[in-house]
Amino acid sequence: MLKYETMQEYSEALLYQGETNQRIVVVDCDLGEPSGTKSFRERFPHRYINVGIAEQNAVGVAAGLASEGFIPLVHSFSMFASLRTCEQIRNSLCYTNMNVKVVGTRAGISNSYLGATHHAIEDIAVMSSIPNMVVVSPCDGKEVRNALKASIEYDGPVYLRINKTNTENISKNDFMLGKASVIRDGRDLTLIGTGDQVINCVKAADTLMGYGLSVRVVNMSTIKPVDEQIIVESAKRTGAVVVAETGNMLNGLGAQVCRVVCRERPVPVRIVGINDSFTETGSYYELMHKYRIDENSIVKAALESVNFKVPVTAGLPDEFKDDIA
Amino acid sequence: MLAEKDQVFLKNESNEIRKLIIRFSNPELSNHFGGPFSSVEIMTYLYMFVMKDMDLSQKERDKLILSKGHCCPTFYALLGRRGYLSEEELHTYKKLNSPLQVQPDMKRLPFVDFSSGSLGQGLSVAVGMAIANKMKNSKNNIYVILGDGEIQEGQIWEAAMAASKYRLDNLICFLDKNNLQSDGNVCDVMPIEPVAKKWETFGWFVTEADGHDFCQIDQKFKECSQASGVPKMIVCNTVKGKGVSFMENKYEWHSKILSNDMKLLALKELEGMVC
Repeated sequence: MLKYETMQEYSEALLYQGETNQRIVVVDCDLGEPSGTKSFRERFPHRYINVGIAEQNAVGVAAGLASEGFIPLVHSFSMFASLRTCEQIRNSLCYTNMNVKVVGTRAGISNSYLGATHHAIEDIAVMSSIPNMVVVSPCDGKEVRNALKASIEYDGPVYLRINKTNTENISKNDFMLGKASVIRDGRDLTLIGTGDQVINCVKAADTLMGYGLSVRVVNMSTIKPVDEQIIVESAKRTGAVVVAETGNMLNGLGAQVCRVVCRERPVPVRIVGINDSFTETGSYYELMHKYRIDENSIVKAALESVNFKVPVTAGLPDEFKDDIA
Repeated sequence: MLAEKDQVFLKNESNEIRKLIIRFSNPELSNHFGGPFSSVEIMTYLYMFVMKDMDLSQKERDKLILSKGHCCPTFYALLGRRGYLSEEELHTYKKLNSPLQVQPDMKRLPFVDFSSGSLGQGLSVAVGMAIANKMKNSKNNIYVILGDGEIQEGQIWEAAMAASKYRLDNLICFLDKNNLQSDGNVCDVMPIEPVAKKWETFGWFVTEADGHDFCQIDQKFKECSQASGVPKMIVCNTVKGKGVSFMENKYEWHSKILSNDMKLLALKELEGMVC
């Protein structure tokens, strides 16, 4: 199967968006090359700003550009794009609801060999907790293109979280802000993944099929606003949920899913994420394995979740029984 | 040289603005006075002279970012003097549901060119606006008012470098140098001198003025207009709490409760000022 490098896809998509929309301005913080902005810079030098290693200023400059009608895209590694700039994003971007896109590249642990200081494991929680911010997390090269287009079309602040991965395309061509998509359907359990965990969910689902389980896989490509409808529907349909994310398991997508599940349809939920610890230098796959966020961890969590299921149909009134597949 | 009639007009306006600020301050709450009073002449010059004929409800015009957002009582009073806000509306300052937030909020009050409040962020936004104006070939200027304590923030110097790199001669900055900050003297809390030299070294055109003297402000502002290819900084030497003797040079008047009795005392002093 053909593989697509997400940053290469982003680079081409950005160039295409730059061609079609004259209001797009790229703001870089000396990480243009790994952020995929080089071709944009060469093609549109008059719409390219590099403020150097000064992420806080980058966000402010972007806010000023947006207030004058431009659509700035600020680029840095996710770690710095979300945390070094956190207060500027809150007060200069989100409080003012500016039309700025913060593009965090090499999200999660995909900056593998640059080590713990460059791994973004808190960005989902931090960006999601700022009012007005939309958090988007595409799962493959194709979805990076679709997510960029949709983020630019949306009038307001967006944090676009891109993992650096090289995988086959698994997303459907149905990206919509705030809407998750069902990659495959099943009855016994739902795996909800975001970003680079969606492919792990698909692989885990294959393994689980071998154990005789029918598994639904959901690609939660927008983390905020989270698609509550699909979470409720999945809980009702399958009665057990696993959420997989490449980030701290506290306060991320898993927490959002739990909030919705607890309120609408309590069923067992397991979260596969980094267990509140810092990471280290290593290869992407070594880190996935060591910090228990790989496909095997999802399989294990899935079996736990299914085993924890209570035969809820027993004592339920008839009208609720239909909800359980 | 500023014409005699303009001088009289501006002096009279600045006195009226101080009185308005005293009048709409809430006697039950701590209010900012020190900073708003040190910046009265700078802002009066900008809104009542430089931007006097500009309709503040329009988008295409010069813009001002009050980076030291807590000085917005001066801005609100100016909006009152220019007829955009009634005295009744001014009295909603700090009250629930008021468009007059304690820090200027562009979403609640459209005359605010950009929300501020968290110190050190306004200059970056101004740099973005100034770059945008260059991209659009717009001749409009961007003005920024910074506090001297505020420039202790590192982001200011990131923005200073960027303004210089992009040769933003449409960016004119006023440093309200009143030598005091929340915890005491700027030179004790965190020395910033030599201020002028620092900005010069960052590639800015720098000049100094008495920030309460309209003739000097005007002269230095015109000097700035001559300099091309560089951002401009006017270091304005000011007095915190200027105009009310019991507030002048007292850091505790950065933010403090002004009782009704003290209000009368302050108003009496300002009434007595002959313009």
